[in-house]
Amino acid sequence: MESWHYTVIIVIAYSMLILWLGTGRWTKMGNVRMDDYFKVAPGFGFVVLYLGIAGGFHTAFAIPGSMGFYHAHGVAFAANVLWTVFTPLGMIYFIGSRITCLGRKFNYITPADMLVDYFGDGKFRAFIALYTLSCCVPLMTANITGPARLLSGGTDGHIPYLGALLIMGVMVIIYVTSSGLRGVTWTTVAQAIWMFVAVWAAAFWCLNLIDGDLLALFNKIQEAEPALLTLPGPQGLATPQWWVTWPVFGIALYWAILPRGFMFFYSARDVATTKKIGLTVGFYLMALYIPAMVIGFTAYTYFPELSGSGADSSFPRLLAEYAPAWFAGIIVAGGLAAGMSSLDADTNANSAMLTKDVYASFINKTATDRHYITVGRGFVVFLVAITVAAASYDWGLVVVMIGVTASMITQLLPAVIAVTVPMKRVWFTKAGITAGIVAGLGASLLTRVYGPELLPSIIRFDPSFWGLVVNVPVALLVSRFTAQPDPAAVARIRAALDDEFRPDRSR
Amino acid sequence: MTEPKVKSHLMPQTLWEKLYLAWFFFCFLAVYIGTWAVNKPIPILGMPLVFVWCSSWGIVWLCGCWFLGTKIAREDAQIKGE
Repeated sequence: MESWHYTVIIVIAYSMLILWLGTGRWTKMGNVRMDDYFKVAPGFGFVVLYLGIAGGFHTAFAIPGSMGFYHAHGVAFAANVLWTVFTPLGMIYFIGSRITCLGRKFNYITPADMLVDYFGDGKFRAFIALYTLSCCVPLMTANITGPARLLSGGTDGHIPYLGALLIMGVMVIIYVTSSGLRGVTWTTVAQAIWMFVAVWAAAFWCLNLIDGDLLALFNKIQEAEPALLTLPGPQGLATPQWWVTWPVFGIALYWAILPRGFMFFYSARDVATTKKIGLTVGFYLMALYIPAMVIGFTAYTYFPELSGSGADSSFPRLLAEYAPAWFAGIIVAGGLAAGMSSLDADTNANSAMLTKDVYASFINKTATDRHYITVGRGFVVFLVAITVAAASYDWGLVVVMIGVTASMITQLLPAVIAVTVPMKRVWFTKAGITAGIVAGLGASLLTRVYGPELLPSIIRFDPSFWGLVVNVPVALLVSRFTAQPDPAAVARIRAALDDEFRPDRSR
Repeated sequence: MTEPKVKSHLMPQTLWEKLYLAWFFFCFLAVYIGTWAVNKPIPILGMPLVFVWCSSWGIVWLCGCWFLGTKIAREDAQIKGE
C-alpha cells in the first residue's frame, strides 16, 4: 500500500465514527418540535455540553492555523490566553449563564428570539437574523477551507481539494439534517477528544524530531530568527495596540455570542451547568493551544522559507514529509474535527435563524413544527452548498473575512448586555441598538480598510474595538429620543434574572 | 426612563463575587500588561519567557476563578435553600 492509503483509511474510520455518533439512536428527538431540533429542549448535562462547547468553539484556526501563527509571528500567539481564558471566565460564566436562564425560562430558539422579546418584534427580528447570518457565512467558509487543504495535502492530492470540501459538506449535511443540535453536539464530543489527542501527539512527535529537547528547539529558533521569541514578532504584528485590542475585542467578546454559542447555552440543562462550564472549559481551550508553540517552532526550523499564507501550510508539509503515514492520518482527521466541529454548529444555528426568524415569522406563519423542521433541513443543505461553493474559490480573503465576522458580531454586544445584565435604567431601545449596530459596523469596516493609512500607529487598534467605540455612544444617543421597550417585557425578563442571579438574601 | 427599586446586575454583591471580579481583573492585567515587562528572549524550562508567563498566568487565573466560582455556587445554593 502507498502511504496516502493509510491516511485515507484513518480518515474513513474517523468519518464512520462521526456519522455513527451523529445519527445514532441517542440523537433522536422525543418530539417533532423546533425547540427539540435546533436546540435540545430537555437540555444537556455537564460532560456532553462541556465537550460540545469545547470542540464547537475551536475552528480550523486550531489546526493548522495556530501552528502557522507561531511560524509567522512567534510568541505573539501567547495572546491566546486573553481569549481562551477571558471568554469562559468572563463571557460564558457571566453572560452565557444568563442566556441559559432566559432561554430555558422563555423557550428561545434563536439569538433573535431573546433580543426581540426584550426590544420588541417586527422587522427588527429579520434585521438581527440576516445581519447575524451574513456575519457567519465567511466563518463557515474559513472552517471548511483549512481542513480541506489538510486532507488534500495529506493524501498527496489523491483526494482533490474540491473533493475534500464535498466530503466534509456531505457529512455535515447527513448528521445535521438527521438530528439537528443533538447530532452536532454528540459529534463534537468525539471531535473535541480527537483534536485534543491529535495536537498533543503532534507536539510530542515534533519534540522527537528535534531530539526531544525543548531547549534545543529554543536555541535553534534563537539562532535562526530571534524575533520569534519576543513581541512584536518578526513582522511587527504584535504591537501594544494590537495586543490590547485584538485578543479581547477581536476574539474574546464575539466568540461567546456567535449564534452557535446561543444554541449551546439554550441547550444547557440549567444555569448551574453553564456556570460550571464557564469555570472549567478554559482548561481545555488553553491546553489545546499549548502544544502549538512546539509544533509551529519545529515547523519553522524545517521550513523557515515559508512566509505569508504559506506559514499555515508549514505543519501539513512537515507531516507530509516526515511523519509516518498512519500518524499523518490521525492529525489530518484532527484537522477535519477542528473545522467540522464549528462548521456543523454554525450550519445548525444559521438554519434555525433562517427558519424561525425569516421563514416562520414573515413567509409562512401558521405551519406545523414538522414543516418548519423540514424547511430547516432544506436550509442546512442550502447553507452547506453555498459554503462549499464559496470555499472552492481560492480568493485568499478568508482571514480578512473572519476579521469582518468578528467586527460584525461584536456590534451585537450592547444589545446582548442590555437584555442579560439588568441595570437601574433601561439604556437602550430598539432604534438605538439598530443605529448603533449600523454605525459600529461602518466604523469597523472603515478602520479595517483604511485604518493603516488613516490612523496614526499609536491608535491603530483592532477594528472591532473602533466599532464599539462608535456603536455605544450612537446607540445611547438614539435611545434617548426613541420609544422604550415594552415595560412589561422588560420587567418579566428582569424578574427571571433577579430570581436566578439576585435571589432574596434576607431569607 | 428610570425604574425605581431595581438592582443593577452589573456590580458584584457578595464577598465571593467581589473576589471573583478582583481576581479576574488582576490576572487579566498580568497577561494584558505584565507580558510587556517580561518581553525578553529568555528560556524557562526550554520555553520562551513570554509563552511561559502568559500560560502560567492563564492557569493561575483559571484555578483562582474556579475556586471562587465554586464558593459563589455554594453560597447561591444555600440562599435558594437547595
